[in-house]
Amino acid sequence: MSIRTKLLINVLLLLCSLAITGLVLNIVRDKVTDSVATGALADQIVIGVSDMNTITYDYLMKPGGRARQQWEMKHASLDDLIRGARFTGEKEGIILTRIMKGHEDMALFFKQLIENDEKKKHSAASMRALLDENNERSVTQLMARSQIMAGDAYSLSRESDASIQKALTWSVWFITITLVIVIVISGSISYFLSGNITASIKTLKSGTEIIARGDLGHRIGLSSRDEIGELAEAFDRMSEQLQATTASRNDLAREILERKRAETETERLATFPRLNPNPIVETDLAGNIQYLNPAAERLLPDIRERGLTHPWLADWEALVRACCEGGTERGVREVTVHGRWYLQTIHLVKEGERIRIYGLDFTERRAAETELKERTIQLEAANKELEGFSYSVSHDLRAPLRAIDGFSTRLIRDFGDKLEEDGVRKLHAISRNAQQMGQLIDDLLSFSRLSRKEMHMSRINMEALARDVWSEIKESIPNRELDLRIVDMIPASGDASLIRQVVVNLLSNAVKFTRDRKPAVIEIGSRNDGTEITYYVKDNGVGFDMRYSDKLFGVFERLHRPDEFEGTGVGLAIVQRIIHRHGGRVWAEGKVNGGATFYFTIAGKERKIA
Amino acid sequence: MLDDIIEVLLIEDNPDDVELTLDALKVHKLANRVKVLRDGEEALDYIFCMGQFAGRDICVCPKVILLDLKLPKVDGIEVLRRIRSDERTKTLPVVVLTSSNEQKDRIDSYELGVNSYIVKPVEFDNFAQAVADIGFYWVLLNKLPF
Repeated sequence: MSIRTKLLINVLLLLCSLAITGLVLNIVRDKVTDSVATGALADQIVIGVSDMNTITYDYLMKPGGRARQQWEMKHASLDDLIRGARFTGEKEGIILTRIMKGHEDMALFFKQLIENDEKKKHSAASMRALLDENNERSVTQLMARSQIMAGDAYSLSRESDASIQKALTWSVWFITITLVIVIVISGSISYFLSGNITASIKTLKSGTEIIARGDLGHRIGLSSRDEIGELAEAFDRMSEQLQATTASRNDLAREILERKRAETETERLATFPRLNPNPIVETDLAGNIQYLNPAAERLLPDIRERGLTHPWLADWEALVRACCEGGTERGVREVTVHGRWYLQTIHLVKEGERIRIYGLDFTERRAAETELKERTIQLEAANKELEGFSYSVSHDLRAPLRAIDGFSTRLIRDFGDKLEEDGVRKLHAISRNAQQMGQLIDDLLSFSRLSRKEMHMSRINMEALARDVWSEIKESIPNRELDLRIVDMIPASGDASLIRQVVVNLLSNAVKFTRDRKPAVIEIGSRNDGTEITYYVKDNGVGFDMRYSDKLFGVFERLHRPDEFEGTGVGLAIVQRIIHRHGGRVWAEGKVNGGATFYFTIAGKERKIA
Repeated sequence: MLDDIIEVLLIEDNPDDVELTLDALKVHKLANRVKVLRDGEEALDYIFCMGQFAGRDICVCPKVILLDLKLPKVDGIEVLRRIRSDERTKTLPVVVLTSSNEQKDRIDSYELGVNSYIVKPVEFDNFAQAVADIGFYWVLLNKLPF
């Protein structure tokens, strides 16, 4: 129910109570008026009665026509007064009827009196006494009747007073009760109404404050079905629309921001072709220039005039066909412009039916590539030559040596008895040198083969390898007193056959240079210092002078004369080459007649050694 | 005639090597049963009875062919290929006797089905011993299928 309705009810209630009160007062007024009229009538009746009494007395004193006329006139006026009175009350009616009866009686008695007086005039004296007596009785009756009438008039007046009193009392009560009822109803309506309104307004206020703070998603949500509820609803609708508006405004702001960002990005991207030092050319499908970046303007200044005859756009139709039908939408080709070589990447831009040609000046790189190609060819040729050379060495050089050795040996065998001792010795020298040269060739070949051999990396059990190699060496020289100690050989990673060659060469060397030691003590071992593993082979042989240590690993370098220790000086060179190919290092320590120690490390990775 | 029986075919261009080889074969008295051919073409003519050897009976086969690889005209590998690709000669024992110790030569030879590959030692004593052993083994010890 709306507040207006509630207030209207209140007002109606008040109006009702007013109307009732008015009605009541009206009734009371009527009653009081009646009563006052009754009172006035009663007073007039009393006055009239007393007047008639006076006139009656006047008549008695001086009977005559005039007094009689006065009396009758008075009686008539009093009669009019009484008959004209209208009373609502029952009691008043009874009293009035009694008064009317008395009044009529008075007229009757006055008539008798007059008639007596008339008789007296015409009658004898005896008769007169009787008539006087009759007169006296009539006057008495008249007086009595007037007394009764006065009394009735008084009681009528009292009665009217009482009814006024009653009406007043009644009206006071009625009004009081009506007022109380109206006050109670209207007061409670006002109380509840004000309570509801206050609570609703509080909710509305807090809700609007929340919305005012910016929380447009807030809803007041008043459920009451009055004006405040409607106001809250309207408020909610408003904030909803405001929210929608704000959201769309935010969207717009974001869109603007994004557009700005895109514009900045576009500008930034546009600097890519502008700052690109390589030429970029865009054309339509007919080859008309649409765009040249600054580098293209600079490097291809005549492209606009020359059009399709410009080398940049050479073989235009084939190029377009390749772009359109190639499926890949791009192609790569090489062109020369003003003596510079460009690698062109050609891109078909589908939407615009444009062709973009990105150029890359690779003149220097091309020259370098050409040079590299030539060098590679040369190198391959050199390698082939080298292979041929080593084949020749292995095949052609050995044959004559074999002949020298063979024939000198046969000479000694077949004709030794005919030669002098010196001649035989010289033939032996020829034979020995031929054999020595054969050995040199073999060693040189195996050394050169090392670089070409492919490496197969694997895990190597170094201790087993050392034992295996040692047993082979011992077998070939059974009558030597040899003592080998293997100390903590850590497994390695490398080409097993090459590492085996290293161990063979180092142990053979150790055995060779401890020839005159009894016993020969050789130790092979390893240690790990955390960063790399170092293997070593130590002997108690003749050792070497550290001054010549740099010569130890050179090809054909020897620190001993052939008549002291045999050998070609390739063994340690092979060791060094193998270790270098494994990315390791090799070095040696020793002193003359103080033994020698050879160290090597294995990085476990193949390195190209030139 | 005993001299006509050719048991060893020596294909070798170097006359010194021929002389030394024959000398070594004398140990087992095989020197006079050797036919020496000086280049690949001559060897193929002989084996397949062509050219100057057209009248030869192809069914008379040697017990072993000693083949050098580096030969004038047709090289040893090609000779070996021709021998192995012909039905009549594919079972003939062929021993490569060469100065070459190149891996490629060894692999090629074995892939073509050589029976043995010997690198000629430079030292004459070793060489003579090797040749004598080859002669003894293939001519005297070994048995052919036919």
